[in-house]
Amino acid sequence: MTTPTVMRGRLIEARDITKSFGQTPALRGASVAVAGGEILAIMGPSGSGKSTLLHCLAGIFTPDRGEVWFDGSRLDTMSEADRTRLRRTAFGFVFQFGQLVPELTAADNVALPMLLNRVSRRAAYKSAGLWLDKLGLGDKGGRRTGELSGGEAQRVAIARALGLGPTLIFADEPTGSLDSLTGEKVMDLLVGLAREGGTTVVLVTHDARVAAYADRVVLVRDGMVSVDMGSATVAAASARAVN
Amino acid sequence: MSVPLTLLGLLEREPSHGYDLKRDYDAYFGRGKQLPFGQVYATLGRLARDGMVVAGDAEPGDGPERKRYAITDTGKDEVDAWLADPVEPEPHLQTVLFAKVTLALMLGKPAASYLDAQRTAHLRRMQDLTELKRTGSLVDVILADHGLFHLEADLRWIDLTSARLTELAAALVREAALETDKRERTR
Amino acid sequence: MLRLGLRLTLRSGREALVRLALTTAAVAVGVALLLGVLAEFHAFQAQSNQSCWSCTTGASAPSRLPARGDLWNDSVDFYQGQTITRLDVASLGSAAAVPPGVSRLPAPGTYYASPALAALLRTVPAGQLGDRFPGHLAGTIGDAALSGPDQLVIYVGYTPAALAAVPGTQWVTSIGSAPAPEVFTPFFRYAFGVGVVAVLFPIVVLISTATRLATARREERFAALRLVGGTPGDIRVIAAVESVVSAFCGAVLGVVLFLLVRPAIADATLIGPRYFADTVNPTVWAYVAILVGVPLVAAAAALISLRRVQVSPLGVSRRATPRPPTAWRLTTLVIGVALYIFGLAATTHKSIGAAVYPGLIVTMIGLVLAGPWLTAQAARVFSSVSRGSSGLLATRRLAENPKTAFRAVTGLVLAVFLGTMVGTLVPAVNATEASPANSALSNVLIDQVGLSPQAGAALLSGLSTIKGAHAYPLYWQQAPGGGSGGGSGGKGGAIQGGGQGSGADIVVSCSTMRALAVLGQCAPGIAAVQAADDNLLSDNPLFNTKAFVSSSDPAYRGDIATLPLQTVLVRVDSPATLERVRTFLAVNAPPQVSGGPGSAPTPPRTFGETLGIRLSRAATLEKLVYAAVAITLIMAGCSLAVAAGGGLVDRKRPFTLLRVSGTPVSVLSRVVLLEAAVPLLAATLVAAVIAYWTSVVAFIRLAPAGTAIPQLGHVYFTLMGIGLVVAFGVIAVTLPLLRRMTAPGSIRFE
Repeated sequence: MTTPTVMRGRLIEARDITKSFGQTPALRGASVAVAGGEILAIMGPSGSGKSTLLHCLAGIFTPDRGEVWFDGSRLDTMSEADRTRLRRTAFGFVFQFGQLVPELTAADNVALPMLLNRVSRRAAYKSAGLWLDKLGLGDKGGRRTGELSGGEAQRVAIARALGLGPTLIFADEPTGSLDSLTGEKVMDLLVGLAREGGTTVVLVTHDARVAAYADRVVLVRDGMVSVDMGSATVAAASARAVN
Repeated sequence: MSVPLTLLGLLEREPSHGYDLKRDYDAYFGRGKQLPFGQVYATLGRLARDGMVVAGDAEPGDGPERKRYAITDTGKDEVDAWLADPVEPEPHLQTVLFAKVTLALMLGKPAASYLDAQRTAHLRRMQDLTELKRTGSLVDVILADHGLFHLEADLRWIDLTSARLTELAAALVREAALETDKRERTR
Repeated sequence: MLRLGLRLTLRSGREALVRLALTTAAVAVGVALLLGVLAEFHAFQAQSNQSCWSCTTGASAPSRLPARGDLWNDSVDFYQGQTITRLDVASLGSAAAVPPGVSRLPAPGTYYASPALAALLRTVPAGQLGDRFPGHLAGTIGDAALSGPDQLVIYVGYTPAALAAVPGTQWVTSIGSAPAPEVFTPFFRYAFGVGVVAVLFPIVVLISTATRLATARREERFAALRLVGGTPGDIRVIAAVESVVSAFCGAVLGVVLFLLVRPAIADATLIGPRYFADTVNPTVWAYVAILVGVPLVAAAAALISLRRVQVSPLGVSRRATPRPPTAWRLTTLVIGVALYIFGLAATTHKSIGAAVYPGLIVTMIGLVLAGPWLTAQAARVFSSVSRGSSGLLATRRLAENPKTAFRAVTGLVLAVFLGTMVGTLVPAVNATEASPANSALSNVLIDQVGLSPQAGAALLSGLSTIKGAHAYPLYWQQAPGGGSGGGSGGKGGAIQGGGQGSGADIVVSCSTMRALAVLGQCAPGIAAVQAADDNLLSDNPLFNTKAFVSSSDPAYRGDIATLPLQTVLVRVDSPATLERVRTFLAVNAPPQVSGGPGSAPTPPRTFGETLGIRLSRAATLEKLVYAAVAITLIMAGCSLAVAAGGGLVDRKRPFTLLRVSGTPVSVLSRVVLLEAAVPLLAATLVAAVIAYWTSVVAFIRLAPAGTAIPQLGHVYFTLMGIGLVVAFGVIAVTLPLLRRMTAPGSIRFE
């Protein structure tokens, strides 16, 4: 695991981005900034563009207008190859479903990003084993992901996202298909491990109870960030991040 | 349910007799129950004493129910502050919130941003409860869950009502027009 | 329900239409090829079932000529590599039997020629062709007598008296109508059988691949249908409709394609001479069978693919790993090989054992069934060797679902199987034909003339006047102490070949032997030698070129110029000279016949021409079988394209998510290639080994003893190499599509 890095100021920022799919505008001048070590929740009703905002921040979509900045450089103008590399090394992803390769085992899935980064097979699988242990799946490493329950699969996804020690984790409705208790456990793990490693988290959800795990919540409506419900305990959050 | 502030808000629309105020209150917020006249006049008296309203000239020979009341600037500020201030989570939150939203719409004030402020307050509370769950005992966790679900329910209602604001505003306008008609005819 | 199925098939959006179009195109190609093969077969059958008028036999002509029927003398001539079927005929009076193609017999001094021959007679100088036929052209022979537009046939009219004097004339009262006896070896039938199977099998494989395309989408759709109350039967109907529509459209398109291409096929020569264009037609039944059969097969394939699938209204939520293929899958393969061996054991030189064809087919089926097992094993081996992430992804997927992976390359494996069989057998067959000495005598004509010493001398001097020709005589002596050995005596005393000469009855001068050194050498110091001509004339008409004179043969001390001339060898320097010599010989030394009616004598041919005939048969077979392999390869390519395209659709979402998480496209491309390469290489290796081994065994059984074990030569490896390159080319073409389809910006998150 990497040593926790805390960055003051804005780690990743979207400035006034606009994005349309065909005729439908998804984002209309949305802006949001995320500080290093912060856990940000993006809320909004369905169709509001919150997922699109996340994807633009992660460099998956290129906005039609506006800028996305990551760690001091422009993300939206980077080449696809650079963005791929960034997504592999600096970002981790947790989606609602369908992100694991079903025919690989849990350990395979966690080790995959490391193997892609030319980590040796032995080191990759060792690290994968450690992460799975941390997430309480130590004995399930050899199971195919198709055989795992929803909660277990999400935990594998988190392990995979954290495996390479990324700077940022993007989570899109990570508990969307889980029941309350399982979802709570998943969020506890995600937030706990992120805080431990100083990883920044950008989280998209429509569920207020999930958003409540974040340090800061913004609301997206009609393609714009309409409310920035900063946290009263922001100071406490930064303090936590430093420890 | 804050009766004084609601009456004050109703009064901000236009100066009215106590009788009219009671009738409007019953219509919008009574929900089957009628506000006793005595309570209305007692409240109005208290408001006058606090400087929120002024009693207008009465027709000679009329009782207190014939007085016309008007809101003062102090009263208006009080209404504004009350509307803008988020409501603490409590069992009757929704009725209070509904009153505030309706009044805001009647008075042409920004109902949507009041709802947003309420939303923010709720979320802050939820964040605190979530933090509590992390550090507290199992009992704390269970109680916090209870609180969280209620807060979530409130937030859902707030979302839905936000979506209905335009509808609600239009309905209120229609109501107000009908009211004015009725009043004209009874004169 | 049918209408619903139709609507669903045709209106399911662009992706489904693309899938439909792809399948239709592939089926069309397959159907067109199948029709082509059937058309050729039909023409071949028509030709071989044609009544063979030249096979007509009659009785020996009695010395007093009867008053009805004809005198009939048929023979075979040769011009520039083409056979001329010649009938010398004389009418004896009433009820003359008329051969087909003409309304009456040619009058004496005239002849009727086939259109092709008539054209030749017009263009070629008389000394090379026309002079052989006495008289002038009086008409053309109609198609009824011909087996193809290029056939050279001539009916020459004689007076009865003149014809009766020619040896071998028969008295015929009716024309035979039976088809020619089996002159084509069973190989051609075998080859056609192979050809039909080569096309039919991959079509079936292709159709079954196409029905299983984009399974995930299909399952979603069916689950939705179940949810609204569709029964499993309804699902089956809809699935069947889907595949029937594309198969039927493909069949129709294939028929159209074939009709467009038919004129080109009709003109091509695959086996032997050109067929009549209108016989190169599959029968109406073939069309019907295809238009009905192909959709039926598609429907069956769809129903079979649904057999194991229980579509619940909820679809398949948690996918359990399918059971891995067991080693039992090898059983069919083993049975097939066993059948084949059994059939081979019953094979003789005359006919191929009955179990061979089924054995071959069962072996191919066995390969298809065993493929997934081989894939799973190969994946296991590969995963222990590979290090990288693409290897991990590929081998796990292969181990999880070897059936799907193998399905894509099934056609190619079959192509390799057939190609290896061909590649082993054909060069081996050719090798038995060629022998090094042949080339030395390729322009030497041999003719058994059987003339008296005076006539022989006249012939020789006549031959010497032809520019460019050198004649080498072989004389005949009454074998000292040996009987005349078979055959009638008679004035000419010609002995037909067949190795009937017993003892050294040929005398040849040693100067001749020096000129034809490859046929042997005299002992030093002698002027003429006695030898037996067995080696020269045996295996008629396939002249051999073994030496027939050796230094141990005794010398001949007499004057060879006084001996009758038995055989003349003529070296020619050009085709024109060759024809002039032949014409000269036809006029001045007409063929003598012995050995009973019905056996036509061989026209004089060079050794090269004889070899050419033998080789052309082998070349035809080679062409045919390589055509079958090419057909299989085309079908395999179509099959692979269909599977690759469909596979892309299935992989779109997981691959896109992988790319979103930062997997580079190159890794995904490698995964796609590996998933094709591993099953392909594993299965083709096994297929090639089995095919090679079975061919070797067949060859050893069928070929004369002592021939070398066939090896796989350059042509084979080139063909296989091209096939594999094409296969990977097809996959490589889908890779840019993969890149575009999995672009992270294209994903729709729910």
